[in-house]
Amino acid sequence: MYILVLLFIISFSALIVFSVKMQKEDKLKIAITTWIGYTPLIYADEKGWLSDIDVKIVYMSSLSENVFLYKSRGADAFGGTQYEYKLLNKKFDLCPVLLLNKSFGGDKILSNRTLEELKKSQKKIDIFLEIDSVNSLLLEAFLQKYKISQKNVNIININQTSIIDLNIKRDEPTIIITYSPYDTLVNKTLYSEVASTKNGLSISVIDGIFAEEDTILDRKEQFEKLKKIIDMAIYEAENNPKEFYSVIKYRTDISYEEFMQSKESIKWLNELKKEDTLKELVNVNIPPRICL
Amino acid sequence: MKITIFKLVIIVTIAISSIFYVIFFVNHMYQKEQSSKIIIQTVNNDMTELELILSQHLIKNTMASSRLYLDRKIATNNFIKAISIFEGNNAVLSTNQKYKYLPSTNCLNDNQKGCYYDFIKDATEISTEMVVRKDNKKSKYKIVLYIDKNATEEAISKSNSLFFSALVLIPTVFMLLVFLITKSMIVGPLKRLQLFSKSQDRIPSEMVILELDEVREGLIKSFAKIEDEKQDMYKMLRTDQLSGIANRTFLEEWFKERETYAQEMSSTMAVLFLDLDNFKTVNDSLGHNVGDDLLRDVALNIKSLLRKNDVVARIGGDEFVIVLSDYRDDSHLMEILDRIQSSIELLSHKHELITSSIGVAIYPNDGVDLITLMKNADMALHQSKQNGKNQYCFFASSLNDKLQDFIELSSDLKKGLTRQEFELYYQPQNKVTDRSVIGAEALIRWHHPKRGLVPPDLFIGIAEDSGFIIELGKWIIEAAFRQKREWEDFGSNINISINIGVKQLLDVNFVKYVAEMLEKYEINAGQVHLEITEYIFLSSKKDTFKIFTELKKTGVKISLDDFGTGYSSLSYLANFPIDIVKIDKSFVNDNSRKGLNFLEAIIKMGDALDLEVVAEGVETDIQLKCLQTNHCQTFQGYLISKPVPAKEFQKFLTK
Repeated sequence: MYILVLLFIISFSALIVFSVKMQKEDKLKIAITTWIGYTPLIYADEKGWLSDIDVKIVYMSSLSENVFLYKSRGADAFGGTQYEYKLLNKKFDLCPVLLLNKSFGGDKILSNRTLEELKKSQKKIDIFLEIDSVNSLLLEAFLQKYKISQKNVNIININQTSIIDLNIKRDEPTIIITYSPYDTLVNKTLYSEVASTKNGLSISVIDGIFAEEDTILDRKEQFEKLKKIIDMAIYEAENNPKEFYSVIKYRTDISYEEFMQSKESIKWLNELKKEDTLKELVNVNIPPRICL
Repeated sequence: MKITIFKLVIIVTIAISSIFYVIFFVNHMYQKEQSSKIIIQTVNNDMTELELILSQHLIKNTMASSRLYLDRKIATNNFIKAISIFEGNNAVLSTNQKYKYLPSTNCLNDNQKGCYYDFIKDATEISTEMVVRKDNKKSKYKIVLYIDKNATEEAISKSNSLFFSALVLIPTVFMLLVFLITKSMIVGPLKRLQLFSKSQDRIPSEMVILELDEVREGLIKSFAKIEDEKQDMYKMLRTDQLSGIANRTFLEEWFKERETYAQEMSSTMAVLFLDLDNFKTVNDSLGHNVGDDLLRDVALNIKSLLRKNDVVARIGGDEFVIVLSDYRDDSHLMEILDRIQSSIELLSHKHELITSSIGVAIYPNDGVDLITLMKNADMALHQSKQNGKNQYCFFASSLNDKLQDFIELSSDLKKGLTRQEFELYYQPQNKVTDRSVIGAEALIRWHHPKRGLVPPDLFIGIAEDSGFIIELGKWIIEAAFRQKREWEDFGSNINISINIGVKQLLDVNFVKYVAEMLEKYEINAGQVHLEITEYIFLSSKKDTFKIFTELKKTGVKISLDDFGTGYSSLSYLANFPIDIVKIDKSFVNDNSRKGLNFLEAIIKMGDALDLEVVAEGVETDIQLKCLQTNHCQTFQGYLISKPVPAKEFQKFLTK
């Protein structure tokens, strides 16, 4: 009798365990690009740290692709700037999970003319940018600062991966708004930096991971572990850059030197105190709250 | 062929589970194949779609700008981990630099047919050829989708888990549950019912299954009924139907048990064979109904007189056999016999004159088995009938003689008082120092007209047993007090000691009587010594103390007679109002060193407790010397005089 009872208990327990296992949630999908600021996630993914916490990274070619994927529920969270946040916050109750970095020259405006020439240009300036991205904020700030009229510009939407197609001598004054690492695709002999988030633009661009508040609460444990992993990855990026680069290079297709330069163009925000984090959010007109 | 419920349940459960297993297994394999097919089709569809999109996109756009389509495909299909596009052997575009290798032979092509599961297990890539016509130039590309093995395995293993839990665990749990329920609610209770039906000593508790519980209740009732009937039958077989008392069967069984005990304890039992005298006359004259009533009454009467370890059985007609095992001695036995006969005689007022004759045989003297004892008791009964009925007769002649004597003496005692056959003799009590007479002990003597002088040890016991002692005792006290009065009138103030029996002392009117006599004869109470034996302490301590205290109030002294031979302890001497201790003559006669030490000890103890010590049975000068040495105060014995009549005692007073 006792053996029967024992067997029953064991079988029933096994059934419960299997049932629970089968009801396991799908992996937490986070959409990012290969922007230097998201490389800690790439590093963690390649290292297998993220599979341990059931997180899957979905690599998109641009932030607007991220937006597209998130909108179609292809991702549970996305990497983006304040631009993507505002765009999607109209439809979703978004909340910052964590802030990754602040652009410090990583977002730049390149041109085949000098700043003065652009200001005085009689010809229309062709501006190539990812319209549905933070590029448009940079453009707005640039035009405002240097008092270039909208009437003087042709705005052409371009995917960052297509930047390479612009590496031709153009007669028209041309502006390319881009961000690391896609700026490495641009021929520097043809185009030079005229402004960036480090120089000449009084605009703050921050990158973070965003998700709906409900998602954050449901998967709080995962996001907390993710934050710790990101901190570890950023530590490796700063202290073992060569090793870091060797892991992420397959995804980014840039040289080590380009990687180091890109890294200099951002400031990590992961270790900011809560008050400072909230200040950064306020600076970019995101409601000051962190849901994690 | 017989089979247990348990086995039946196992077989049925296994059979049902097996059927389901087969059904589910087939379904599971089908599901697995379908899952694999869906994965392959999904990947194939994405590849086809990608080919279509790129083939259009690349007409006017660069390869680099196609990246976003590749990223989208990977993002929306969990089973694709990377996509690369090759032109010849060169990877012209890749979502992950690690996957810039051309597919292996384990490449699943889009025309795959057959067993999908087998193929998905091994497939690592899927590829297709793409042709792009741009500026009249035809470019051939190869699109390779790299399968995420982890994702495909996870998707298929999920169904494995489902299969395992649904088809292995659930039936296992179900089966075990069925076994447990069957065992605890059906098999277990049935086993308990089976045990109960075999030996009814343990009633099974209530059962959950209603039908089984009804069976249980039915069994309990049936067994209870059988038990009651068994008891009734048992009783009936051992009960005399007419009178309701035991019958011969019961008597035989009872005697067998009781005999074992009597053997172990070496005790006796008396078997009485009782027959009603002239019962036939009652039956014939008053009818059988009256006769039956009489028998019933006799049976109940006898039964009411018996104690716990006695038994009465009707063995036939008007014959009863009584076995007594709780009697002290022959006298007590005779007392019981008298009571039995008296109780039967009492029924005479309802019926004709009813008497009984009893024959008595004693175990083990007159037999060791019931048959012999009954036979001998019957012979004794026959003798008592011959002797005139309405009497009892012992089988042993010696007992009969004793009985005869007892009856005669008992009768003569009462007559003796009336005929003034009793006389008090007196033995002087003397001072040890100078042998002067300071008192006298009154001792009863009986001048029987036929027997001559009957010693007290012969008739005092009979008087005590019959209760006559109270009357006799009163006579003794009055006679002694009268004598004392005479002596006082003569000018002698000696003490007078009177022996008081236990029954006499415990009589409710005793103290009052003593006080009355003291007053009547104007006796100095302090010179009256009431001698009481140590047997008094067998009675209630409380009662004894009360009587002693009340006696003391009258002024008399209390003397503890035959000290050392009975039941007294030092605590009695300390706590009871005793004035005098009379050392038994056995101590006085003991010349051994131990005996002398005892004597000395008693005297010193008496002295220490402020008690007067009287030594009895002093017959020699040496004994007296010894008493003198130990400073004993008083003595009595043949050294001075034997008990003598009052007239003769006078000389001691004159001296």
